[in-house]
Amino acid sequence: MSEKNHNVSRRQFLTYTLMGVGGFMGAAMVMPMVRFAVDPILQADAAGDMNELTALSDLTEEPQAFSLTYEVEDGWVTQTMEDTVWAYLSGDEVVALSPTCTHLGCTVNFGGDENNPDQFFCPCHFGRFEIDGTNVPGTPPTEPLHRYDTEIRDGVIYVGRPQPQQ
Amino acid sequence: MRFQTSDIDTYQQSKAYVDTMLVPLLPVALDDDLRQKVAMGEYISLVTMEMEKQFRGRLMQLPPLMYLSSESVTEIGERLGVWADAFKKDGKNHVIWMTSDPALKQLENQVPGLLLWIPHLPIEHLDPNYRSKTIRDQMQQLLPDVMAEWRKEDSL
Repeated sequence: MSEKNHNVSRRQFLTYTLMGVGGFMGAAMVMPMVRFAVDPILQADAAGDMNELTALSDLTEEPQAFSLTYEVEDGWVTQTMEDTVWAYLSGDEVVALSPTCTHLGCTVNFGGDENNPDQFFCPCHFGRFEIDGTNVPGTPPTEPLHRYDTEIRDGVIYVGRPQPQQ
Repeated sequence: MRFQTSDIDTYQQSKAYVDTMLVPLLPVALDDDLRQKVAMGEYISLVTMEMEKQFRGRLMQLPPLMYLSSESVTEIGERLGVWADAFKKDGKNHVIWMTSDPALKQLENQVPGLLLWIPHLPIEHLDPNYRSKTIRDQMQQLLPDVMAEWRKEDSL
């Protein structure tokens, strides 16, 4: 019955046990930290939720302004925000654009300039965008209007958050 | 743009594009008419916020300019003149003053810049959804005035 006959010596057994328990304790400490670190990514997912815009049948080839309401959670306060979205049909594709001018953030209007009725127009510094959001060269904006991800479920259009167009 | 640190960096980078100051005018008096003053101030703040949202790239919204209701209109007019001169020195071409105070309506043609007198609507009794729509409609009516102001090369 000497120690040599055992596969696991008393010393080894204690070492393994301590390592195992220590591992659990370490994990218990590190896991919440990792959870906190990863939290923003999970949050971003939640904010990427789709919100109802309007019925698909409301859209035409001509861009129209629709109002989009969505909720923003800030700490314990939930606020209802309201944005405008310019949406139209390009063939079968739904195009939803943000009205925020990519120059300095004014609100653009479709057909706001009499001389360019088929373009988005920014009244602040006369920036112009094509119907698909492309900025017109020679006007102040340097990138296209941001575009919403869209999804159609049961004839209703849902939009996410506006994303820069390449 | 607003008078807050998060907007100031953008302002400093694009100063040349921001040629208009937006100043809400708020009457203050702790008299019997207090409620009316507060309602006017609240309303004008909301319309000003909406205007800032619409034109944020070209105007800088300043904190409200307060005055005592007991001050004479001439005095208030002179004070606005002093501010306008200071803005002009800093290279601004336009000032938009926002007010609901009936007493200031007579300043419309006297003060430098554009004085928008907007009659106060009792929106505090309205449903929140309807409230924001009212403010936006009010704003839409003001757009032509602002555009006309900007067509003048230099109004200060």
